[in-house]
Amino acid sequence: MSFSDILSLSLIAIFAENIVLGQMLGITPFLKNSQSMKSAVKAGVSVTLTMLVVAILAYVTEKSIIMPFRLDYMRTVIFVTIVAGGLCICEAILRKKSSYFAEKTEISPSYIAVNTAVLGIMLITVNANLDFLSSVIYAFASGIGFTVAIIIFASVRERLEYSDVPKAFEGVPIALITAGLIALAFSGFQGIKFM
Amino acid sequence: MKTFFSLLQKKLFAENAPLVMLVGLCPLLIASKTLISGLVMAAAISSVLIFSCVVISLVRKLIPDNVRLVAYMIIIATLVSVAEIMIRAYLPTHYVNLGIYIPIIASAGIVFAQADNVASKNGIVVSVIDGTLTAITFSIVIITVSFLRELLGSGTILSHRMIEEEYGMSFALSGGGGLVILGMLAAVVKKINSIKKSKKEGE
Repeated sequence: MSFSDILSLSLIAIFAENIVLGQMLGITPFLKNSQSMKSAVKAGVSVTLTMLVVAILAYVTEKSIIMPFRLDYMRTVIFVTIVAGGLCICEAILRKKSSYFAEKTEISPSYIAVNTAVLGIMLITVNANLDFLSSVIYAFASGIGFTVAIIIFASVRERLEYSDVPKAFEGVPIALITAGLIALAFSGFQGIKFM
Repeated sequence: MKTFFSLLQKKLFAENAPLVMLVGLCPLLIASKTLISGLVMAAAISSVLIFSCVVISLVRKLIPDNVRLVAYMIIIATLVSVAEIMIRAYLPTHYVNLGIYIPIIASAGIVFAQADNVASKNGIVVSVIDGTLTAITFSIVIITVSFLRELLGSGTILSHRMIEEEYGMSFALSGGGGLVILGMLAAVVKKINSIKKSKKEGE
C-alpha cells in the first residue's frame, strides 16, 4: 500500500464519505455534544479513539471468530457486546484507578456505545472487506471526519446563540436546518475523484 | 381510551422522541428516502421497541446497576438480529436497500433511551404502553418525512408518479435535505407546543 493510496483513502473517509454529514451516522451525539466548543472537541477525540480500537477488534473477531464458525447472523450481537462491554470495562478501570474520574461521576464513557457511528464503522469496514491496514486507516480517518464536522458545527452554533432566529425555530429546529446546510456543503466533495 | 389519546398527544408533541429529544435520528434519516423503506424501518423499530420493553421490564430486577448498559444493549441487539433475519427472509429487496442500516438500530438512541428511562423503572404494563406510544410517534414522524422526501425528491408516492420527473429536487433525497425537512417539522412541533402552553396559562 503506497502513500498515495493511504492519502486518498483517508481523504475519502474525511470528506467524500464523511461519517456524519455524508452517511448520516451518529447524528444524535453530533447534535447533542455541539453546544460548546469544549464538549465538541471532547466528543470528537473520544469517538476517534473508540473507532480506532473498535475497528481493530472488529477485524480480528471477523477473521478469527465470525468467518471460521459461520456466525454471520450473530454479527450484530457480537459487535455490540465488544463495544459496550469494552467501554464498560474501561469505565470500571478508570473509576478504580483515577480519583479525578471517580469524583466526576456524571461522565460515563459507556454512553459512547450509544452512538450509531461506532457500530456503523465496524459494520462498514467488515462489509466492505477491507484489509487490516485499510480498515484501521478508514476508521481513524472517519473519526477525524467526525471531529472536523462537530467542530465546524459547534462554531456555527456559538454564532447562532447571538443571532435573531424566529421564535418557533429557536434551539433544535435551527440546529437541524444548519446541520442540513453543512451537509449540503459537504456533498460538494462527493464529485471529486481522490484517486 | 381518553387517557390513551391524551398520553399519545403528550408523546407526540411535548416529548416527541426524534424532534424534541433528538433520539433515533440516524435510522430516521437513512430510511426515509422512499415511503416504502420508511414503512419497513418504522415496522422494524416499532417491533424492537415494544419487545425490548417487554424483556427489559421483566428482567430489570436481575441486572446490577453498573452493567445495566451492556445488558440492555445485548438484549436490544438480539432483538435487532431477529428483525434483521425476518426482513432478510420476507422482504429481501428492502434488506439489500437498507444494508447495514438495520443492524444500526441496535445502537440507536431511541431504543436505548426507552429501555433506560422507562422499562428499567416500571412494570411490564406501563413500559409496554409507553413503548407502543413511542413507536407510534416514531412511525408518524418517519412516515411524514419519507412521504415529503419521496414526493419532493423523485415526484412519486409508493412509485406512483405524482409530479413530472424533471421537477424533482435531488436535494430532498440527500441527507442534508432530510435534515432540513426534519428541522421544519421540529419547528411545527415547537410552535404547537408553545400555543398549547400559552393556552394552558390563559385558563
